[in-house]
This record gives sequence, structure tokens and C-alpha cells, in this order.
Amino acid sequence: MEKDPLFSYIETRWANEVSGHLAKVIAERVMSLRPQEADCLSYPDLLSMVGRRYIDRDFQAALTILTAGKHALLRAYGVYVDEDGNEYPLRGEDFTALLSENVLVHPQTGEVVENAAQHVAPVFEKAQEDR
Amino acid sequence: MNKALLKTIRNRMPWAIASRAFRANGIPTSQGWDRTIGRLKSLKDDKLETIIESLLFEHALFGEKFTKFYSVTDKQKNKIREFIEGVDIPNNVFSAAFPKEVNKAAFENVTEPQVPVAKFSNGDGMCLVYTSEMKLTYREKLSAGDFGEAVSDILRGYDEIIGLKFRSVQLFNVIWISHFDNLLEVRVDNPQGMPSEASHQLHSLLKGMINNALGKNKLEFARDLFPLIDSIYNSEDGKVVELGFSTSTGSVKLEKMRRTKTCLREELYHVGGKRELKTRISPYKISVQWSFGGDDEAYRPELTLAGTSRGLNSIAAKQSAPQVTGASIANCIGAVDYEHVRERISAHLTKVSPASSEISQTAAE
Repeated sequence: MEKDPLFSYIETRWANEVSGHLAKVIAERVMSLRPQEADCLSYPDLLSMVGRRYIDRDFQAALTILTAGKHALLRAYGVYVDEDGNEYPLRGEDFTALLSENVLVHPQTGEVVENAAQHVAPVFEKAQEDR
Repeated sequence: MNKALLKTIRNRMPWAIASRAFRANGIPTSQGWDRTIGRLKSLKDDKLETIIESLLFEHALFGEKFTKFYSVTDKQKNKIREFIEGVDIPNNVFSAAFPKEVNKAAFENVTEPQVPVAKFSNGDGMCLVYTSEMKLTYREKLSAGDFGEAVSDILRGYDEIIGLKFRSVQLFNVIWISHFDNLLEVRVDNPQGMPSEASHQLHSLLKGMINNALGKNKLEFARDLFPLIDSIYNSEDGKVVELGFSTSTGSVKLEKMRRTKTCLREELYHVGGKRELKTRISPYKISVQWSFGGDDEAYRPELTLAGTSRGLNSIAAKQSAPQVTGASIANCIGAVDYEHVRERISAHLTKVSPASSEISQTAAE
């Protein structure tokens, strides 16, 4: 992801909004990271980039700016943590099914997980084509 | 479709492996086991049934195993072949069902600790398959709210409530002698929840049976795989997904990769930590994964060698007792991926002790 098209895109649409400013600060920080460092960014990681402690509407909007559209810098995925503390990354269809239907199949046992969303932490990675 | 077949594959195969193997073989899948089995049950398709049975057969021989390797001489190898050839596979419910499981009640009248169910020879080696029953205990977290009010009041004083579930599982244990080298393999099933002591006991039992056949020329210790931990870590072989190691600064670390894309050897935090030390780290546990088989990476076998941080510094090590006597070989669909791991183990064994190369030399009498 080149910096200029993304920043012009943000400037054009969210120039005077807090969410636009936050999106630019996060983008600057993410782009300065080495590839592996942007593989698994949690909400607290991203919040700390803008010096915030809590997720609010502006922060959420900034993440939407950075994850949607043709200039998307970040891609969301999930990490499922089971009862035994084993972690499984969820991508593609599995993550979509979780978000849209709250359905998750345990990768090892093949059983449907109850209250799936409660066991999944959302994380972000720098979009693949930017590596 | 045959219910026993579907029940067995569900009991034995982790979902991640089954769904991958099913997709690769054109078997329809759905969300999780319940729906997939529900879908398959209603199908009447002999061809699909044959494919599933062959997947199950491969899994019985190669899937989710805890394997020990023994160096054998040519003389011992011949004796083991004779032993396998001489074993009479009884015509009973176990051999008739194999590779399907039997009804658990079938074990009630069994007196032998291991029942032979199949033997065969192919281009790679000769093998004998035994079956036995094992009762495993599973722990499950419960909530005080799951009980009636009176009981809940008593349980509220506890931070955690654990329920125990006992489940009987049927194991398939394999003695395998290769045509091409002098490594005897004993593989025991290693399902989730299997205590390592139980695996070692099973191994002792099978080793005892082989030793009875060998007479005075008995098997020695299983090959020590501890040196392979260092050898694999310091190579570019596969992707390291878990590493336990100790440092000269007094710390003991267990690092795991959440994503399998990056190898732990190259992970920035790991590399940075190592760079700060003037001494080497001492790995004692490793899990390494290989991915191959086209764009879908149909095969993703995983090898775990689990020692302890005492490692080679223990008093026992100084008395030359093996530190890691078995390898956990998981995530295999069948022979292709299992053999890949075996070949890597053999290569590293040769590397760490070239004098006892398993492929090019015969162990001394």
C-alpha cells in the first residue's frame, strides 16, 4: 500500500473528522512496522498507536476507514481460544461465518462452539499485497 | 452409508484433518461433524464409502501416532519379519471390523492386552496392527449455575468447578519394519487426552512382545531423539511452530506461533532475544510443521519432540539414558505425509550420529 493514495483518500472524505485524523496516525504507524510486526495487531496495540485507552465511535470509524474499500491497509481476522487455551486463527469462510451467523466449528473436535463470538479475539494484519 | 465407518472416522480423525482429506477426495462436507455425518449418512454411494474406508485405514496406520524408533541389526530385522509372518490374525469381530472400531462391549471378554487385527507387506515395509482399549479421562469446566439452587449455593465458594468424563477409546498400535533401513518403528495411537505414561506403558508392552520373539538378541533402548531438537532447530527444515528452550540468564521459555506462516526461527522477537545473549539458547522441546501438496497445501504433518528443560544436563543423561524416546507425529492424512516426517527424522538421526546411519549402514551385531 502506497502512502499517498491512502492519505489522499482519507483527506478527500474525512479531512475534518477525528476519525480521519486517527486513521492517518494509525496508518503512519502501521506502515512504519516491519512485515512480521504487522501480522497480529490487537485492539490494544492499535489504541496505543493513537494514545487512547478505550474504543469509541471515532476509533471504530478510523478502523472501518482502514479496513474497507480499495485502499484498505488492514485486514481483520480472528483468533479462537478454546477451553484448553489452544489458539486457532480464523480466516476466510470461518471468520465470515462467525461474524455473520455467530457460528464456529472447533478446528480439532469438529463440534459447533456455543457462544462462539465470546471465544474469538479480533486481530488485524497489514494487507497481504502491501508486503 | 455404513454407520460404523462414519462413527469411527469421527472418533479417530481430528476435524481439521478429516475436512481437508474429505475435500481432497471429493467427499461432501458441511459445518462440523454433526452436519457432515448427517449429510453422508443419507448417501448411498459405494465409491465414497470405499474412499472413506481407505482414509480410515491409512489413519489407523499413520494418523496421530506416538512413535519410537529402534536400531536393529539385519539378524533382528529378519527375526521381526518372521515374527510378523508367524502371527495368526484371528478371525474375530476385531479383525472383521478393521479399520472400523468395534462396539466397546466386544472388549469385555478379551484377555490379551493387544489383539492382532491385521498384517501386510507393501513396497515400503511390513507391518502388524494390534488393537486395544484405553479409558481416558477428560476434564471439563462447569459453571455453578449448571446445578440446582441448593447445589449451586455450595459450589459458589469455588473459583473453578471441574467435571471428569471417562471415555473408552479403541487404539490401533502398529509394529512397522521398513524394507530399506534398519529402523524398527513402534507406533501407538496418540488421541487427544492420552497421558504420556499410558503411551510409554503401551510401548513397553509392544517392545516386550517383540523381545519375546527376538530371544536373547533383544532390542536396546529406543533411539534418543533429544539431539534432533537442536539439529532441527538449527536447520531450515520445516516451520518451527513451537519451541521450549532455556537460556543462560536463567529463564525458561515456551514460544508458540499463533500463525503458521512465519517460522519461529525467524520471528522478530525470538531473533531479537537471541541476539541479546552472548550464549546459545538450549532448546528442549520443538514442534515443526511441513506444508506441501499444491496450492491447497493438502499435507501439513507436524512433529513434536518433547524433552524437559533438564535436558542433557540431568544425571540420567550422564548415564546415557535417552532423553526423548518418542516422537509425536500428528496431522497426517496417511502414508505420504507420515513418511515425509519419518524421512526427516531419519535424516537428522544420521546427521547427529553419522556412525549409526540408519540408511547406509547396518547396526553392529
